Amino acid sequence: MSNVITFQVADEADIDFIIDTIIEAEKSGSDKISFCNIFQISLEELKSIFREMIKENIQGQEFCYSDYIIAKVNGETAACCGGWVEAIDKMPSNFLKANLFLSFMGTERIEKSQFIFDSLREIIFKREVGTLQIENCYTIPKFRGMGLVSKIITEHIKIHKTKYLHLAKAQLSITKNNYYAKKAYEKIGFSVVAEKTSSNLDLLNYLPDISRLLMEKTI
Amino acid sequence: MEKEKVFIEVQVIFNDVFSDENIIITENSSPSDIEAWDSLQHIVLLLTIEKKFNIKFHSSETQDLNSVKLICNRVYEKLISKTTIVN
Repeated sequence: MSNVITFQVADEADIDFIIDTIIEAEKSGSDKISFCNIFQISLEELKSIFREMIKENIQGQEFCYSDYIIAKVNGETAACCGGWVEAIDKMPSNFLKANLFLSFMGTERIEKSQFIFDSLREIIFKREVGTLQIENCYTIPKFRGMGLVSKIITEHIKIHKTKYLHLAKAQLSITKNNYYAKKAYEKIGFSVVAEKTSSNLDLLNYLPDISRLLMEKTI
Repeated sequence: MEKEKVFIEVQVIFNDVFSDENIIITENSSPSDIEAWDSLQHIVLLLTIEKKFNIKFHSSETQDLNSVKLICNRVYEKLISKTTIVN
């Protein structure tokens, strides 16, 4: 019997799966969870803070449940991926995210993390206004090999192209050492257009890699 | 505190946060005018403003704060509401 694959925009009930997705994407195949390392908090604390941030459902950035599409296989949650059109009628996604961290991470943790900001700045890409941003894609291991992420990205393109007729480009960013993700995205038409590397090797104590790639695809 | 005084205090905060005495803000100043005003400096900026004015922004109050004018207005509103509650 063939598998039945369905797609739906995530709702509040999917928040825990989205949190797992963000954390797995952040790890990029390593065991480093940058948010825990930078803010010096446990995984449980991080999940609890993320839950509150995502519940706010502020669209146009990655901590928003309704910006995610979930793939289900035979009714079972199998994969998800975030997507939004950058900064149309709203602030840039990095600013929206910054505001959420300010509100939910707490003054003390933010202050403690400031020492790393200059190094982080070296590897952050400025997202292009009006492009589709793809962020945090994850498939549960037993459902891998079914092309679910590719199918979800196609769904994002379909949904957003209906709303924004001139949408012409999709962007995503990954760590350079995430070889498998790079190959997978290249397979569906993305190519590397830029690379950034931090000059601070100590960043490796906090992040999976000190180099990031920007990939784009014409849609 | 008067609205003009809020603006003057915010000017001082900008010079301090961006470590640049030459930054002169106007009401219309925004991240597109001040190159160093990126998302990470935005966190530091709002955090410093919260501490200076002894206020706390809720996430719903910061989602449109993309200019000096909007930031000063929001600070002023919060100071007024704090005074009203105290009175």
